[in-house]
Amino acid sequence: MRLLPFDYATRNLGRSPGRLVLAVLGSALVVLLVIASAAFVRGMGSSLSLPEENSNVIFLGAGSEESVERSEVSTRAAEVVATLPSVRTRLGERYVSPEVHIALAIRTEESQVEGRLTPVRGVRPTAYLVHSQVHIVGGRTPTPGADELMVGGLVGGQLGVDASRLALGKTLLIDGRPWSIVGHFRAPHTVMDAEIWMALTDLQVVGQRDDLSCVVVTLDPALGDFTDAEVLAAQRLDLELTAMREVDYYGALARFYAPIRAMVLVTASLIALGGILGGLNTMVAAFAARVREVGTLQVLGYPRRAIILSFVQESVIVAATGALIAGVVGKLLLDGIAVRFSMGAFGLVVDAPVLAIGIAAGIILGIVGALPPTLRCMKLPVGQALRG
Amino acid sequence: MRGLIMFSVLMATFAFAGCTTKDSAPKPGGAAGGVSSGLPDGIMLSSAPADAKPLGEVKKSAKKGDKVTFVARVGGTKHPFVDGRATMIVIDSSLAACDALEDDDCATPWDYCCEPRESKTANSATVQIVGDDGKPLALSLKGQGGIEELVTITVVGVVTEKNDEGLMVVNASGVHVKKG
Repeated sequence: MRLLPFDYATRNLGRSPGRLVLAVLGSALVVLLVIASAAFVRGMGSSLSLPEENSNVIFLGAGSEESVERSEVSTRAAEVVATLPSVRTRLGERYVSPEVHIALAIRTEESQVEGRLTPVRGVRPTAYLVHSQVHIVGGRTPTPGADELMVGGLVGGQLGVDASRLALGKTLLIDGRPWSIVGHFRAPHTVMDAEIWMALTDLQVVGQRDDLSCVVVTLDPALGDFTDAEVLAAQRLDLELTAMREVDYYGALARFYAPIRAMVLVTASLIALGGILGGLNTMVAAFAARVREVGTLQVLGYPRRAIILSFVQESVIVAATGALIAGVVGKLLLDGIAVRFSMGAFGLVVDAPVLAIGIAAGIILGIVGALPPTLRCMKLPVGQALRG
Repeated sequence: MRGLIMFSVLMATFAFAGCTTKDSAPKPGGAAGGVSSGLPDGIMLSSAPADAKPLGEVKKSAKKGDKVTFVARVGGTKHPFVDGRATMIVIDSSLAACDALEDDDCATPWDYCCEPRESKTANSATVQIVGDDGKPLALSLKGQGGIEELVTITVVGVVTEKNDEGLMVVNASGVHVKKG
């Protein structure tokens, strides 16, 4: 088959610079929306999923398997759980983390009438052993009894303030009292990244509770498995415990939020479809003006398939250029942006798979947007096409 | 060629017959009906011990080391069995499971979610069948000899853990499953 040269398609793009810019921008907007949706779904999904090799077990109050914030566990439970032979030990320290989880209204300014509900976790130092994803990136851990706290990387987005407002030494208002920020931590792609951490006893005082929300332990696979934890929970009916793998706990939460993710994808698909239909409209008008050109090319001996291919090339170049622009904008502006949800917040994730989805959407947009109007042009007999 | 085919058919027949024989062989302790496997001989009782009392009554007075015989139902929690360990949770038969209530469509009536938590704790016990090492056997009790959620069972065993807050662990030496 005799093909039209590739630069025929590229040179054609420059015939109407205004239309070219609009087409590229239109494509970029549609692809940016696809990227934002994919980043949302991926960000939410990754914040609620843990690697399979995670060997943490959460001991919750029986009947509170669906929410650690509603769970109540006796403080004695931590001592009992620590006797589990399969708990990991390092330099004599057991990987047992008794924790309190409460969503507190946090104010950043005195003048603020209502604070923003933010997940706060009360911990002991062993929490840093059990939650290995947490890395302190600035400052230090809070001292018990000193009204100190440490903030995660997404807390700024959660509270709606700049990072500078959460600098070391600044204060946040909890329960009407100023609490000093003494540390910054990151726990990327986990719900912990949107949390505030403070000493366990401090949060118990603030929350007016003398029990725990849960006890998290890390098991040593060489010493035992999850069944040991289940047996302990079954034996200690007095503590009213239930044992769950941390992976399963967050897996259940992810399933709970699956309809929201599906809704986001459907919305994005519908808007992308709207973009394609809008693009089709433009392309029909653009190609209709090129009917005579199509006829001339046919007279010159180019087969219809070659002409269709050339037109699709043009369209794909435009759409792919828009997709590339959207990818750069998405990576620079969207990646890591905090999105609030009931579990706190998660960061949008614009990574390689998300960018690949965006580029693929752009290419599909280019092909699907060009084919119908091109085929419509081709239907005309050559003579009629030459008359325009 | 025909000989080879006959030989293959015969071998296949023996292989399947072998599987069938293995699966249908009587299991130790399976006398009480239902299928049980891996349990020590004599654990599953064919008749209920005559001197059994309700679990709630036994739990009030039992001490560590006591030999006890009680009647209870399997349940008291959403997951009364531990997968892969011979451990289960039982609750006094006098407490009403959720399916006993009218207009209740609870999917897991054996969790007794309609009962107050204190009542459940006071009337529950952990029953386990242990090996020589004192640890629960590495098998699930669910399905053994007809043991299922909400089934009434009679347990003969020794109290190994007990406190006033609700803890009671019984190492069972005999379990009878009530039919029907």
